[in-house]
Amino acid sequence: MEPIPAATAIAEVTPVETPPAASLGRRRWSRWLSNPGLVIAALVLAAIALLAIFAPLIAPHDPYAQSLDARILPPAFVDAERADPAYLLGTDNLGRDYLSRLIYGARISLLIGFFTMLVSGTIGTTLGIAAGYFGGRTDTVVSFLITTRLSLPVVMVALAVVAVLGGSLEVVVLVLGLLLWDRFAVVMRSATMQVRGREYVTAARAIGCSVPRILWSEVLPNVVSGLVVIASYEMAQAILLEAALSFLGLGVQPPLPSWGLMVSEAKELMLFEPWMIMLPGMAICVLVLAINLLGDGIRDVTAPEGRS
Amino acid sequence: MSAIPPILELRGVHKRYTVGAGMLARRRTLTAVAGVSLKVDRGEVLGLVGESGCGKSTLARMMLGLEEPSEGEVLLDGRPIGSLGRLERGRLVQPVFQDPYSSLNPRRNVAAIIGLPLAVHGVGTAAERRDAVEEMLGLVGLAPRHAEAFPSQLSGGQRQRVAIARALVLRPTLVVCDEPTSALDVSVQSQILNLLLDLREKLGLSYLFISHNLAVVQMLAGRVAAMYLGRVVEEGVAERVLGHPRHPYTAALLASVLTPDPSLGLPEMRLGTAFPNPLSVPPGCAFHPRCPAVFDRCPREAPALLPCPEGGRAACHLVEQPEGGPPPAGLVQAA
Repeated sequence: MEPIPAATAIAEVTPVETPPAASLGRRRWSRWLSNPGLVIAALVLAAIALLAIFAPLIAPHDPYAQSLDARILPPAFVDAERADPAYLLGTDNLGRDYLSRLIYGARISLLIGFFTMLVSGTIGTTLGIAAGYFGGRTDTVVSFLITTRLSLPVVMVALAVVAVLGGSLEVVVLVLGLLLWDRFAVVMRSATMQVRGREYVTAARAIGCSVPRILWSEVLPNVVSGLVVIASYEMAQAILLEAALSFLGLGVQPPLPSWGLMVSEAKELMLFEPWMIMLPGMAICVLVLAINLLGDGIRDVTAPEGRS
Repeated sequence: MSAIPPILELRGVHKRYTVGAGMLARRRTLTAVAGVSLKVDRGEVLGLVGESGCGKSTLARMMLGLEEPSEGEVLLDGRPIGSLGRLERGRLVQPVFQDPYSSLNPRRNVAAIIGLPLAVHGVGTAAERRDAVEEMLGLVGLAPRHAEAFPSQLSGGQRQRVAIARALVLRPTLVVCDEPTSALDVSVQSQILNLLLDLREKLGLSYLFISHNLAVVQMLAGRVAAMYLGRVVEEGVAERVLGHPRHPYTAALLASVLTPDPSLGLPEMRLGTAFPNPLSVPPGCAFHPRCPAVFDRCPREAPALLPCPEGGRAACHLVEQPEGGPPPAGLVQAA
């Protein structure tokens, strides 16, 4: 095909640096690595996830094994005289190894955070995108559902349901998942409304794309950056709520090692052995912070405006 | 009457919207398009001109089957557009939009954007589609290496070339161009216009070319229709309509074309300060509050779109008057 003169002219005047595929991949990696918050958060999360997955191999003791001879031993850095070198982070009031319980507790927190986020994210994103794209009556119904949900106090409802159904891992995930979708729905709805008006969506309709295809490949990829932030926020929120429920005795039940439960069990000794409440508290804090940092970092790196 | 139907025919098309349907606000009807009848023959370029808010874009959306007319018919290739499947419709008519920054999905690269119509319509194998995309890139004057680029890496003109490639990759018969150059730099505008002209010859396309820029329409269109407040006020062969406008509104549009010499200042259109509001269309001739040649009959009676002695059609009482009457005072002729 003969190139059009004007066309070749513009191609020469404004060349676009489009590197070959190999170096494009390397550049994408460097974008991820040049965000320090993202790198730190990813490393911390990876470490916690590895600890959780390989807990039986890593934990020095059985987290359920009690030893009445070795109750409430502090870690060496708190009180070197009373510490027992066999228990690196001491023992709780039943003589169970604190480090092993913290390691196993990471499993509970990550499981609850991840699956709650999955359940609430699926519900909220579906409702939000449907309301934003179709508008009209769909939007009215979804907005009503969101308002209804927002009028429910999360902790109260969770407490009531868990009190009735009993506090197992599955119940906590389901209850939190069914309660925490509102933010997903609100953000996805407004983001979809913006994207719906873009001409590439109109173009897709003119091409003859089916509605599911438009939603999946034209709308969803362009609202996903908001989704990542909300997902990380809600995952952290679910972990905190599980800790709160466990602290109140209505979350995961003993003897399962949950961080919230450990804070709860340590509260009686708070004034005498403050390290017992601080260690699981710090674990929750670090995990939540890492998840939020990761969400922010992913959003920054994947935003198409940032591509140069 | 030839056996081949026009590629696009509008018959008395109306489009009304209900606005202000709040709890307290009164429901009002906005008539965006009020009885438009137009035809685009195969291989023809019809220019549609008019100021913002006159219903051009609503008309375009109905031609693409994205909105249904409230009244009247849109026929594509002789068949009602509503009776066509979405794929069949997509193979007949494709759009090129105004804003190339909003018309390309920022998450997909150029190859995926141009290849989307082929994938949706299930044309060929993946390898054949890749070849078709590459051929299309060449046709619109982009290099094969642009296939891997994302829209944010391209200039406005390059993006518009991608949008044109996407519209043409299915080889549609009609392309609806809704102000395809008004978001571009002046220097890039002419390149895109030349490209559109060139592709029309190569691929035998028909264009419906919407613009408020008469200079652009003059360059491309064989026939021109001018719209005011949802109505076609003048229609005919481009040289006639743009050279000897019979409707005062067309004349005012022509007078509004800016000259390259800034010392001449802004052109005087003699349109007064009345702004057209589609929510309250004036009685009689919709244009009469702004018309420099208004007389007593105009507010009472709406003029019909009737043939002019010079050819084409115009909706103005001055044109209907028997010949020999004085030419409408205050009409500005095109330079």
